[in-house]
Amino acid sequence: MASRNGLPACVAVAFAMLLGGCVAAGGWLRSVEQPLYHNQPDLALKHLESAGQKDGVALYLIHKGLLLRMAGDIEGSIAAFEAAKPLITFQEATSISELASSLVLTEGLGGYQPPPFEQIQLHFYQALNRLELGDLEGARVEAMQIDILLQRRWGGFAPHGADATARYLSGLIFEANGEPDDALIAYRKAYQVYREHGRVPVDLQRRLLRLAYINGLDALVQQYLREFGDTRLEEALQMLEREQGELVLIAATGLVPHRREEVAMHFDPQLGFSVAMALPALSFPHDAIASVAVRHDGRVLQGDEVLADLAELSGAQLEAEMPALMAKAIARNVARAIAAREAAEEMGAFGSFMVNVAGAAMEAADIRSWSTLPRHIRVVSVPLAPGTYTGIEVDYHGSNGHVATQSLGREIHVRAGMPTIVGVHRVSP
Amino acid sequence: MQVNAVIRAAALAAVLVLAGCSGAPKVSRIGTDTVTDVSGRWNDTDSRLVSEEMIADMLSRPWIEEHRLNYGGRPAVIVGRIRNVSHEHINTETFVKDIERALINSGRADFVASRDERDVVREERADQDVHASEATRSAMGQERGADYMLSGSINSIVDAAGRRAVVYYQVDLELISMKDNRKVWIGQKKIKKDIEAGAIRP
Repeated sequence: MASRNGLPACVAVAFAMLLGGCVAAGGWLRSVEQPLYHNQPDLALKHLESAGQKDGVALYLIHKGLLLRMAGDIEGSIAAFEAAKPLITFQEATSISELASSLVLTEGLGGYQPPPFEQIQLHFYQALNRLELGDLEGARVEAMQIDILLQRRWGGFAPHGADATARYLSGLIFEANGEPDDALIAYRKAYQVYREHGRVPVDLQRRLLRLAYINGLDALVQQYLREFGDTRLEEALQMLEREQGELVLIAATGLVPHRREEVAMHFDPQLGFSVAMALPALSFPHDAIASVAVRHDGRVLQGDEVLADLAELSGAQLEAEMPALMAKAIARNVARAIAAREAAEEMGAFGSFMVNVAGAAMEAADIRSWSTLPRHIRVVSVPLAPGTYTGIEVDYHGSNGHVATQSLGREIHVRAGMPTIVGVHRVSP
Repeated sequence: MQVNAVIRAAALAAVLVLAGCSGAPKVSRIGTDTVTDVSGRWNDTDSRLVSEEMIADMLSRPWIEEHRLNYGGRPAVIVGRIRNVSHEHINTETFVKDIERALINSGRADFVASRDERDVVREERADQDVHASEATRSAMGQERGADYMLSGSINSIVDAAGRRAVVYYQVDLELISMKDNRKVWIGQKKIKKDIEAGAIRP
């Protein structure tokens, strides 16, 4: 009889061990992130590929897409991101089994559903990929998809201002496609988000003024002059007066905070039960790059300003998720307590112990995230005479004073009245 | 007994979860003209239907007869830029090929090679000049110039909320006379799709 009663408990332990192997720990990703601190995306990619898709296909693909982009394989990056898109949309639907498992067993058993800022970043980098290939129409498609995603999921504006930078990039893309009216709409939405969530980038202020002027919206020009100050108008119109073009460098630096697990465990002798709560917390890696500048012919042309700090978005996202995560952790403990009590009634202390062990082994936080994303997105906007430029370089100023200079390594074609958008990505100086 | 039930329920949940992680892809061959809508996005069926209907419309209009009366013979058409201003990455090359096929197969118009194709052909012709026998060599300067250029755009409007989206595609094509820039034909085809994704997944 004892052996018959012991069997279910053994099954429970084996089951817990089995699930323990499946639980999306995410900790293995440190081996992917480490080479990035030495600016070795190729090595990071190798580590990712050898680790496989243990955190789900969608997360694997977005990591891969970004690492391929950093390694210079733009076509490969586009393919990976496109493959990820339908998987992420599919994950939007509710899964009863995943919900049940998160309430009774553990978090992170299902497919990965990226939070809003990660979903938007996917389109952001895909747009930069398309621009890299000179595919302005393709970049425009991404701008449209950003707008539809925002409309469909969050009624037009993403939580925590996660769409500001993407709206800004959409404006640049419309400008580059010769559509100043659509560009102004995108910039106005970016402005609305930036204003609600913090500082409005100076470059955006100039663009709003210039586009309002080009579109003949005098009242709007006056409004912006009141809001931004008179000096902005001169800066904004400089490009028009001199029939200049401009290089807009979008620089991604550092690494976004990654999620780690924090476990609280407490044995309650009265209940005869171990309360275990595993919740995610953030680890903030330091962005070793303090600023970025564009250099040509040995001369520094322009410094940067920060468009987005993904650490803020990542923190706000986790804070928003926390109440639901805590409620589910409590629900799991209640389920385990009931199981432990019933096991104690049927099999005595041994049964209760086994259920406690199984429960504690299963309790794990979902610490998956797109942790290869950058910490900061910066912009350097440089007015340039139309023409082809070959020797443009980027200075990465380290917070320790070290400066690394990197050539863009390709020809940059600047057209009059249009922004030429170039993306660069570096984790350390 | 109840412990068994808990374990059975947990095992069932695990099976459900694990079932979603594995399994070989199931593939079956289907006809290329079978209408298969998987995601609701622009697909091969949309491309084929739009090109066939628009070309049928183009060939039924008076410009083709006017060309025959004025210049004799079949008009030669070249495809210019088909701009994708929709919200999807539509391979306009596939769409252009569908148009070319429908137009050539009608037997009522000729198609001349596009700019990129011409470069390759010219390279080959230059090579022939050096390496091919005189009897088989194609001479320079004998290309057929296009009489008309076909260009246009694929546009879309999306109204989406939650899991539902209504997508409206509009394809505009126009045929412009190379001789005098007259627009001899303008065609428009619209497609509207109501897409509702499931709220529940396995």
